[in-house]
Amino acid sequence: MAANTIFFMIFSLVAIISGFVMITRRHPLSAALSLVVTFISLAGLYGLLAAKLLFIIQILVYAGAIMTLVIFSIMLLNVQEEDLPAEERIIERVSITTLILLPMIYIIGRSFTVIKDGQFPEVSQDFGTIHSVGMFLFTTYSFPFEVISILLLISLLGVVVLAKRRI
Amino acid sequence: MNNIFPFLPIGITLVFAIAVMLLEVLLNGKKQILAYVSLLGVVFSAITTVSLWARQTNPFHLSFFSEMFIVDNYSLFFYLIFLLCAGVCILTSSGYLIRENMEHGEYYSLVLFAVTGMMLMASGGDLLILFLGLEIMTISIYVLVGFNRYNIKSNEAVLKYFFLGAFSAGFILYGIALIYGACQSTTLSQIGKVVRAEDFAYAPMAVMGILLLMVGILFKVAAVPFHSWLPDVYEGAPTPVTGFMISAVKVASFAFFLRLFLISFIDLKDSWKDIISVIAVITMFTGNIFAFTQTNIKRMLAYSSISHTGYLLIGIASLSASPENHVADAILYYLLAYSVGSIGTFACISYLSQKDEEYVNIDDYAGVGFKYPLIGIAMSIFMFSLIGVPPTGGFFGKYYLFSAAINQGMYPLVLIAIVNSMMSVYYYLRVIAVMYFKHSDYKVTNTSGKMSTNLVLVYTLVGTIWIGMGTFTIFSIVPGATSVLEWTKVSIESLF
Repeated sequence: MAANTIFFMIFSLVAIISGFVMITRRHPLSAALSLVVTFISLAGLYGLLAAKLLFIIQILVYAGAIMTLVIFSIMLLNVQEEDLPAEERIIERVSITTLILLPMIYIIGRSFTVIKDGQFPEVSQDFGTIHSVGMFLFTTYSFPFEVISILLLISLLGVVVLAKRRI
Repeated sequence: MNNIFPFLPIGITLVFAIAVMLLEVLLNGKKQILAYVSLLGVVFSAITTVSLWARQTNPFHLSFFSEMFIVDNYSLFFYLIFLLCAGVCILTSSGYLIRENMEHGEYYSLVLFAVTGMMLMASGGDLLILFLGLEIMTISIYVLVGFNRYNIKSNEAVLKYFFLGAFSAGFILYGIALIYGACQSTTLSQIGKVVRAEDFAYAPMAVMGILLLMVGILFKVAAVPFHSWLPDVYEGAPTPVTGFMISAVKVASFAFFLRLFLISFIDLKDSWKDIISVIAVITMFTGNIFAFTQTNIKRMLAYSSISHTGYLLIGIASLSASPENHVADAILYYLLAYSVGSIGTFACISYLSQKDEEYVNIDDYAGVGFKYPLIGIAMSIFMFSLIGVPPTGGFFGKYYLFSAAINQGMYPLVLIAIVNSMMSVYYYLRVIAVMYFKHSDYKVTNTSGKMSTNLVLVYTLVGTIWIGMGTFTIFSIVPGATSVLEWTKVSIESLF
């Protein structure tokens, strides 16, 4: 087995397990911390795929900035475990959801058996570097790049509208 | 100039949105002006849209930025619907905002930004642009839904809509990722080409992507397993915003849906046709049955809009690759008739409701028909249009949609749809019956926004009748005008 595959296995297992831990922990802080682990192992997966910029962004923005914000707000709200609402009939809910998702799992399984023999395209040497992503952003994808600026402007405006005090 | 011209409708809307946002800061106190400024933007944009249509030899198809942004008759048709709804929304809002004490210029700016997003959804030729347009639209709408921050229902609505909407955006992105993986492209026409190829190895992966995308889009159009947000959101949102959502937002989601499925996924129809058919049936029944029991008119119309989604899904299920079958034009026609009818209804409701969303129960409308004759007549005609009584637009919408579906052999679906249309007669007629036949005086007097409401009502009334009559060339009232049906045909032909 290639080193690549071993690392892939490790990272994806860690991501899945910590994702599972995240949804089963009752305390928000332990859930948030296991989410950090998921983000870091996802960053590892991006690194394996040679997506260097994505790797950096994943660590800096998601595991760094956003999670700091999440943990800060949890600590500021000071949620105690006894304040949380009781969760009823977890087993029934989970089993019904699993039942509903079974056809989806079947489709996923089928697509894996098909893709096994598929050909994956080779990527170029500078795939995923800051330079090539920047080049794409300002040439092929210049239009979506400009459109995103509208999206950011609206988010800014929306926050002001929803958060400002009565004038 | 020729290169800039196709961008003018969207550009003007965007410039006016930003201008209104900045003017809000500069103009202290005179907020009424902002409504007129934004209305001016809508009118300018509509003028450029119409002249763009008239200048070209139809059908035409222009694409920019390697097919990311497409201007064709299809997108112009939708531009006009969005601008019409935005104009009505702005006109009805000016009175409503004063009454509810929340007159801020950001409101108009957000409406125009939402229209920008919708225009991107109607003319995006790439999944990336379509998704960005969808997000621009929904984020503006989230804020508009929660605009009344001192109303608890409005807060509940925005929270519910935001969480569920963010979740559905996740589904859409996941679907796009899988489709990109299977087809190695996000351009719609390229995806269509890859899917059409004989040796397409990644079909299961593409189908998985389509299903996930479908979950997201069906959430946006509120088809039944994903509809639970809609009644609460429509009830909690400020009434003009509800009118805007029920018409323009739904139409934009269908514009996205139709272009995507007609251009890219039509060759994988076997994989999604049955799912859409089943969802259409459940959607029609759920919408109609729940609409029976509602006492609040906004909730009643919310459920009835779910049932209209069901009728439209029949059209989606019977789509086919060639434009000769006229299924897609019937959907466009239906969308136009439906949006004009429902935004007109909401113009009436927002005029009749009082501060803090009082008087929105159906029983409160007793005696409205005699006290406000124009509103009574307008409301009745909109209700007839939503039921589908000739000669309103709603009748011809249903007629074309169902007959196109029958031509595709969808007999059981059409039969169920007709049964459902009959069921809907009860709750629509109840509104008219309360307005005219329930003996009670309508005590409330409305002061604000009478002029603009009357303007809107005349405008939408003429629209509803004209959409119905305009299909007959013998009746063409405006000399030389091509009938609405001709426009929808040209729009669909321009896609291919």
